[in-house]
Amino acid sequence: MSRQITGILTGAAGGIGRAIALRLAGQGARLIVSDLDEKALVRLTDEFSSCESGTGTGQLIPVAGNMLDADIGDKLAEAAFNKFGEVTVLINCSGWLTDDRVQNMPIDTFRRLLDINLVGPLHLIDAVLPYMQRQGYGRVISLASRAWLGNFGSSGYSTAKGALVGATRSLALANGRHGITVNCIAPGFIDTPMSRSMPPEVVDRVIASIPVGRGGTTDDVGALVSFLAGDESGYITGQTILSCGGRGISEPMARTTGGKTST
Amino acid sequence: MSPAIRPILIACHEGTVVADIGRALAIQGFRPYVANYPQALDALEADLYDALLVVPALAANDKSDIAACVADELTRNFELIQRFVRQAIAQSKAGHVTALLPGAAAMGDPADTGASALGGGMISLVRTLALELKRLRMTANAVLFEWAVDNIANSAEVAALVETLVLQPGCAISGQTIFACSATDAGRLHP
Repeated sequence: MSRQITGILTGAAGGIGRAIALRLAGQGARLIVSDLDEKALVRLTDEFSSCESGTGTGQLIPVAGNMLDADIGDKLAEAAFNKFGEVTVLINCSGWLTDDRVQNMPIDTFRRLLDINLVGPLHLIDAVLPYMQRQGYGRVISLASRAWLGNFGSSGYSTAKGALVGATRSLALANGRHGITVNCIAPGFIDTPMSRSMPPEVVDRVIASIPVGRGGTTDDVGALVSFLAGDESGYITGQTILSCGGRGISEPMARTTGGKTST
Repeated sequence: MSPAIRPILIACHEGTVVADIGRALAIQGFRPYVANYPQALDALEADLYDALLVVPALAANDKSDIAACVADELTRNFELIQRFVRQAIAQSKAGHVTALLPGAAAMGDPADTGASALGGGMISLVRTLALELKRLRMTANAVLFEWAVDNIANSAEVAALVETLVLQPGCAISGQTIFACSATDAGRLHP
């Protein structure tokens, strides 16, 4: 019988986080779901409770939290342990993105990108690892980004995600013998409110560069998280798995040629 | 053919061993100026440089909040790179950024998560720099070295590699992560 997934999901009110929360809880997971947007968290848990899959063993418990708080890790880890008696999964899904060219990026914006996308998630990992080590079991999954490979205009975001990938390699090596796997998922262009705010011509060029010919869905990412969070993924660690429709091996932006796009 | 005298700014922390790199670059026709981070920022205000070599590192006593220390160091390096890029744009000249990083940490060091995070962050920053700067005839690369007992191993070879990367304005080698680690990285997945 599969081990029940119990733990923490941050960024749970966002496009990808929400899909992960509903999928995992629908499969019976019990999660502390955290986000800065408290009202959106309540809507999430209400939606789960009212749908059919919310009648099973799954459970979503909202705990508002700000990744900029130094004690966010301890706060959520304690909440999960006190509620469930164990912490088997941490899913770092919180994030913030703003773009600017290197020469124009305000230093405090660069630092804020690091604080939210790197420092906060590392604090979470630090907080849950002692519980997982005592249990001899754990799954740490961090949402990185295809921007880890480099992304025009995203110096701060890319740097933060690259650092998260680097930390993941180290942590995977250090914790493998404790039964803990540590992995990253690097989504590409996923249909979320954030991506829908991009100019249509940019979206067209991005879509044209994706080998499978479409943008990703939040469920594309959720399915991968679901696998990595389960006990069947125990032989996969230290990896950064791209969920990008193959864009990681194609040109990042289709070229424009005479009003048409080509890859 | 030896290049004309080219000024290169080497930004590193006190105690970081880069003297051999500086000497090797000097022999190859560069005018290296080795400075710590505050000095390096000042140097970019006072003088023009063809290339910037950054050597990020965490202090050995940075144990209180590793994540914040990593963010501090990444931000420090970004600020320096940004100032160098602005200077190059203002002067309409090509420029080169090289990040010199310990290869073992970048590959994943189980005993030093901070160094691994720092390496990963710098590698991704270099890739983004390469994408953004290519139209400005600027390049950015990461060179990964290995430590000897108390020095950078094969520093003459590392310096020669850096020289190759910064010698040609607008050269095609950019956004790369190049291991000069005597194959200790071979047979493993690179970051």
